[in-house]
Amino acid sequence: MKKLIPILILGCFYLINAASFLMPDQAFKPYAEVNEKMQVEIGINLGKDIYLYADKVEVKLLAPETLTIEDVKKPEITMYHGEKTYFKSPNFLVTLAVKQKLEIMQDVKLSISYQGCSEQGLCYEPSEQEFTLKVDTSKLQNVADTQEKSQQSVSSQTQELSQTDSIANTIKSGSTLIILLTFLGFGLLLSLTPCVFPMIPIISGVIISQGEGLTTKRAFFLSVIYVLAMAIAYTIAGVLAGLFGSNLQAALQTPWVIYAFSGVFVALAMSMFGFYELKLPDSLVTKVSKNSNRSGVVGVAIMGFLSALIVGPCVAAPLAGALVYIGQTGDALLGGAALFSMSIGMGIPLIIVGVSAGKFMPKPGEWMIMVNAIFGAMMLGVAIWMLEKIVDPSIIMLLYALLGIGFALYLGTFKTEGHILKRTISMIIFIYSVSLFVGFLAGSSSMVKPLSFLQIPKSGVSQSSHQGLGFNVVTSIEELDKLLEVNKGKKIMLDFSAEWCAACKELAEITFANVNVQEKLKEYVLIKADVTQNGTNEKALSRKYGVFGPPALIFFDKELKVMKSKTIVGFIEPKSFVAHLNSL
Amino acid sequence: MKRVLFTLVIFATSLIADVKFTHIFDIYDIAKEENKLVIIMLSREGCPGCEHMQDVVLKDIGVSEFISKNYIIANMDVYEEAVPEELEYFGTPTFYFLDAEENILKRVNGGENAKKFLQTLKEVQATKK
Repeated sequence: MKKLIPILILGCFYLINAASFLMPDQAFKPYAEVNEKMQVEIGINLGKDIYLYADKVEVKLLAPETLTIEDVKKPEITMYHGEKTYFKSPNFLVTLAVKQKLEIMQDVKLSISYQGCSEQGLCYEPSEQEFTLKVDTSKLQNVADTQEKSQQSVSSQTQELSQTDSIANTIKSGSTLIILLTFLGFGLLLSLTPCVFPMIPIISGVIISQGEGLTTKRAFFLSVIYVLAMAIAYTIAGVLAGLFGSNLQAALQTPWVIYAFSGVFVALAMSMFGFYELKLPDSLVTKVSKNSNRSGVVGVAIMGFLSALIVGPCVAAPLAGALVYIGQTGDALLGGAALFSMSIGMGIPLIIVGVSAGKFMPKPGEWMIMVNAIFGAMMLGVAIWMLEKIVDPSIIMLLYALLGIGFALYLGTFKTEGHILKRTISMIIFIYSVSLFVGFLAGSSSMVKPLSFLQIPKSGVSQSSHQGLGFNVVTSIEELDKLLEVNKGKKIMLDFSAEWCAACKELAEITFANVNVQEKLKEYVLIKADVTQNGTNEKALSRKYGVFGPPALIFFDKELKVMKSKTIVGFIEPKSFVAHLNSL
Repeated sequence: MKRVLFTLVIFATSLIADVKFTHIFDIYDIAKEENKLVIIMLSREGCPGCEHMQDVVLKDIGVSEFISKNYIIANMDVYEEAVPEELEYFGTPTFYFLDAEENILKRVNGGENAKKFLQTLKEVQATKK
């Protein structure tokens, strides 16, 4: 009754001059254009007395995948018949954002779908319109690509491995202070890597060359100068990246760059394992060392600056993370500050070394080789992680497995000597890696559950209800047409069926299970139209063959024409079915 | 007494003309049997025009009497049922008038008021041989 009242009231003026209705293309005139801010204005001009269902209007971005819809400004909604509607021609203001930068002028493909009614008493079928627009992406903002990253099935292990990634993420999410503190921390951590060792002799040299009678104050001052100069070098690198490297992230998306970077990381890793040493030309290093006894603040500053260049290749991995971030934001100030903060962190231990005049020097030993190896493995991991975007997941899994096994063996999984903790860890890595390898062989691509193929599959999934009969299942006209074309000239039976249809089950379990029927059906190409979902495709399929509901059996002749008179609707007994087949 | 009244009420309401919808499967057979024409109404849940036609126009005495005398009517929900391919529509409600041999006589897009609809019913009926 409630529903009736508005209709009755409406009825007074409703349908009075319902002479002719607008055709859909007159009722709805979709449009789309780009404004000067590179926002897309997309909407529908409505004909007379036409309104739209607000929740049926949807704007979608179809291409390219490098862009995303950041915001859609929707027009005002009017309540009508208890439905949310648009009475005035709605205009949507779509703000796009860049996920990955590739080209500047992009063809952007958008679609708007809509459904509406005429007040005079006709509701139109849903419709959709596509538009292709030229958009200057350089005027669009970037988005944090965190969503994209979470979509990729990156296991926790790979996330740990990817120094570049975690650094880039930290700066993106945190406030400035947290960012700077984090970078300070990263710097401190970096100073515990062998990267800093080339600097120790230099700073010691600088301090000692000042001669005797050097006060602690002066030593501290000089160390700070040295570290600051080093920091400036990194800061400049950061600012430059911010200014010029705005395409860094985009470059990191192109396959050959990824291969190249991945290769660089492998090379760095090899140097970590001691296959060769990565450093600037000896001549340059000697030059720097020679001058290390130059006194004065300026000399020390120059030393610090040059040292940064010497260590540069060693800290490449975390540096890349920072530079990628700076490139992404284009924020030269923040990027510079972050790198400055990081180098200060790196410098703190150096200051301690300088002040103590070499008394607190870390002693090289076996542990340093171990640190080297761990970093080498990490860098190989980063190399694999970078490839993840462009290489098949199962290959990635194989690579991780090989890396893990190799690293575990390096740590000495099967050696009897060594600390129990080390052996346990290496054994765990070994077992995990082996399971990854087994998972790869079994066709799994999950880093977290490589052995999931061992789980018992859910019962019934693989059980066919038509035992002994091979049905080709289709759900759309296209699929069916393909199959029909292939089997032209053969006897074809098309079975409309759905899981929710009881008669279909009877047909399958009684009639198709019958031996005589099966014998007869051997001559046929059997196609099952599964209309369980009853979506657009399935409905179109049913409509094409005039099937109101399953089950229905349709027979095709050799010219692929439907033999209409032979169509069976509903359940049929095996005996009658055999007779029917004989009549064909 | 109560029961009598109740029956009377039931009886009375059934007198208030109400078109009886037939299932689409049987519609042409019945039409042949009873020598009537066929109306197929294509509708959809929640479409105001469809509700108006079902709740107001088809309940109009003149319309419903004329339909029950001369037509067999079926309603198809375009979202729930597979509409035959030849019955095209770009919106709901859409009315198809057919003869018992499944030939389309007339197509009406959208709703009409009772007076107009009755007129359409009569016009189509007049073309019947």
